[in-house]
Amino acid sequence: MTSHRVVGFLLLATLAVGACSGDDRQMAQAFIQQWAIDHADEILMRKLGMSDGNSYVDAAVDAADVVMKVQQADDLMAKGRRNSDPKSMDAAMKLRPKDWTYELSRANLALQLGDMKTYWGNTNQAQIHVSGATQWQRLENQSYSELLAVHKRLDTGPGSVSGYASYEQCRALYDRLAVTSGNLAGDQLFSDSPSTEAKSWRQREADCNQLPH
Amino acid sequence: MAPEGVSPDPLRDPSAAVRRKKRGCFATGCLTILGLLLVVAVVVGGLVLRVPQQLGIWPSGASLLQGTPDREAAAAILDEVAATGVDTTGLSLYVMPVEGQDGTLAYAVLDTSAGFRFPTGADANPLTDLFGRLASGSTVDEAGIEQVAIAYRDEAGRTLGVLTASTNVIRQFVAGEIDEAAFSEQLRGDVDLGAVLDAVNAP
Repeated sequence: MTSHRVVGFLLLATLAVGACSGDDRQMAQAFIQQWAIDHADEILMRKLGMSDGNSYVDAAVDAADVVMKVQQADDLMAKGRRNSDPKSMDAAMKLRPKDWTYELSRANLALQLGDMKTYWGNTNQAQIHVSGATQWQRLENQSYSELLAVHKRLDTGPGSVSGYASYEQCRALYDRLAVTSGNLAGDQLFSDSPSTEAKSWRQREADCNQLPH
Repeated sequence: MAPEGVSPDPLRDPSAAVRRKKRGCFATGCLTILGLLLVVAVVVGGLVLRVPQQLGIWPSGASLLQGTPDREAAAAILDEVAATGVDTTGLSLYVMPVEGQDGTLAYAVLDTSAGFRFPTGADANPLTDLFGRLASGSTVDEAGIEQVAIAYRDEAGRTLGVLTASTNVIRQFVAGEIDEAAFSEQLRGDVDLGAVLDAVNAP
């Protein structure tokens, strides 16, 4: 194949010029060069955007931009979590709109800020995008950890609900804390004997009735 | 016909005009050839610039990676790799679900410009050795990793290329069931030819 010869010739010519000194870095580069010579036709195919039908390979070859966006989005989300900054979180979610870890954090920040519409919307989205038992377990772990942080910021002590902006905010937080802690403790759905932790959150939930609703 | 030595008059002899017209550009007309060349250039340029993928006509590989990365698995694998003696400075790893597949892709970036150095003293090819390390830990199975990719960045931070192989092939190589040449043959990927040439010629 002509393209194969051209690319191979170019690389062989430069190999002679840049003969490796033998360190590991150059060994790796030499391996890549040799691979390029041997697979010049495949490289040409890739340059033209063509696929060999293996979606794992297609994904791997095109992953560079995705990885760059994940890095940027992770940085923005970390900033948003650190500073309780919804704008940074929204920017991260714009870059990676189907990441349930982001949606969950955004939901919990909205709960902290009393923005219940955003809370419910992102909670639903996170649950749509999560899949598989392992991911559900991770969602519960992340959720509980973030909800505890929200509670720490809003709670003013047992029997007091003065830190909450609304009845809905108060109920949603304690209900979620009860459900999540129960799930993590292995409680059955609608269990008659919930875990001690879930029971204590339900007791706190009752305090929300002091708020107008 | 015109007398010998006299140019034929195309008005009186239409066949002379036809003969003259057919003389250049492979007898089809220069405009046709130029037009065809232009069409070929536009098509090739469009393919190279990935216009069909950007317009959504052909699916791009990037569109298969919109799911949530498995960050816990990536961190665990990096810990396992570090435990084998690899300094993970400049090594970042992403474990990502691939749309339409049950398994995941582990995508490692070896960034020399960020301080990545291969473990020294190993007799093996450092790149194939790292493929083996990335595909060998217990987390690989737990995270459903079916494919491992390594992107290599040079001192200037340019990506020289990305090479990828299935976890099964890497394990065959690690177990000695296939040699390095056979493993290399099974590798897929893409290389930035300009960056590779520059890297080779760099002092």
